[in-house]
Amino acid sequence: MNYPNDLLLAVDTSADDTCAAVVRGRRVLSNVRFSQIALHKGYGGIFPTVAKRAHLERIDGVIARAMRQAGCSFADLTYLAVTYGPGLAPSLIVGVNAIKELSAKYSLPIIPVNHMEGHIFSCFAENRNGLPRREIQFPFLAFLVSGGHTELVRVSDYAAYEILGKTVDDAAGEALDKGARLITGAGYPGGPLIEKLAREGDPNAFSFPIPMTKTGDLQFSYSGLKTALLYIVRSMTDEEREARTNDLAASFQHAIFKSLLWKLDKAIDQTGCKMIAVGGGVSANKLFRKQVRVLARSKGCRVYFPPKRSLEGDNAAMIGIAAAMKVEKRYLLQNSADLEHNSRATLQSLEYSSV
Amino acid sequence: MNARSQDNLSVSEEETKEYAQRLLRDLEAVCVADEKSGVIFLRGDLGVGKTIFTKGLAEAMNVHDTVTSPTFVLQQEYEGESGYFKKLYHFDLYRLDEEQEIDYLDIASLLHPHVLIVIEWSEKSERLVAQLAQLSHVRIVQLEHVSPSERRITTL
Repeated sequence: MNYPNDLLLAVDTSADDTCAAVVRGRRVLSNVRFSQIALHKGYGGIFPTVAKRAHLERIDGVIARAMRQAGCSFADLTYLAVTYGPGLAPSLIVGVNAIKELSAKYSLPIIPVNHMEGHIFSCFAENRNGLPRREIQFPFLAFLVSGGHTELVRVSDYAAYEILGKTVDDAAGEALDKGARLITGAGYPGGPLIEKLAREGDPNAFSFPIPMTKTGDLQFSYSGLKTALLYIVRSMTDEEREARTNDLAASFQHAIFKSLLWKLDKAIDQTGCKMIAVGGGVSANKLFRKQVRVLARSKGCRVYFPPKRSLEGDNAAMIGIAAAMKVEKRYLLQNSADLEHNSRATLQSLEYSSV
Repeated sequence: MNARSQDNLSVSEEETKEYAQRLLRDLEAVCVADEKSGVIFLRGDLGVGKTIFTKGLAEAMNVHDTVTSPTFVLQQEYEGESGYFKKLYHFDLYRLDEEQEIDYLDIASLLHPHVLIVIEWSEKSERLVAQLAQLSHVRIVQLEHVSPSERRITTL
């Protein structure tokens, strides 16, 4: 495949993490995510926790680090890419403004990227040596499952998306998080904790209603399941709850995955797609991966997950890769002053997609 | 309970939404008079129906988008097409622990005429509640579990 050899700097500040990355086509040269841990390690612990969500204080340092790790200078860059939405407006603005400034300073064109496009193409990231090699075959199904999103998308070409279904209330990852809180009292995030507890539990110990199986569409809903868990937990004494923690976690997780798989199954049948790309934080869950693989095999589909842990949650490398795909199709923003954030951006009516 | 408080038992999501819509009309009437913004603080446990309540408000405002949980993204915004309120901001402080993080959202800067702000988990910052109460018309709504299908809704 002939990917452009152009170097691209990408930035994502759509939620909690401040992210920057440098990519060459699909090859990831650096992928920096500024989390609380990196904050203390990299900056000698001098940052107060008040900076936790202040992207402004971190963005320049994160970009500098991404450039340094990739071993390049601004003069080497050909394009800039940035997430314009969806996300938290005050956070998005920080990334968008940083990229606009760089664009003006170095006369570089900007490729605006929808955050969800990034998650879709995170499955096709390659290392410096171009591995793993994964061929993109349109049309394919993208299944995006995270703390903020639950979406089934039919991808018919670069920048051509059809949302088949999404959540009408809570995201699947959010339900897992809140379930952890109800079962153990744990704080945010609780998804990884549920996964750990569930490994030792019986998924059929408690029967939860599997949401949205009778609606006939591809929408998701998890708020009712959360309430069902609440009432089971409330009916127990503290001792009972502690003794059944693993079973509660396993059964609750089972219900969520069952509904996700139910809809994925329907979407495969409905679209006839032969390839599935799964993105978002929940794709890190090993049981979920296994269940998706089993379903895909039974349907004769290939399935891809992000090839590295650092590509599962929010990151900028995926934004760079999605942007690199757009370079091929010449989806470039001519006037960087036209770039605006959109906190409710959706894949269905994609901005900046005209040639 | 003071004289202004209203107490109601809801036995369905529909009734919770209807309660929300009555509250919206009442708040609208006050805000129209002095062109201020409205703020509704929603209190109550996980699964009690705070998002359902907000869906009810959005329906009354003729918002076309589906109202989804703002827990992860902290803030969602919607455009309304009827009534005094034209813009709905939906906040969730669930994931925030420090007053400074809440300050960073700068909610007060959104208080313009025709704006309705709904805030879940405002219990985390009484300072925020006091601040917004000075600048807009506020209602504090408490939702409580009574049984799996019943909720007590109280406007304080």
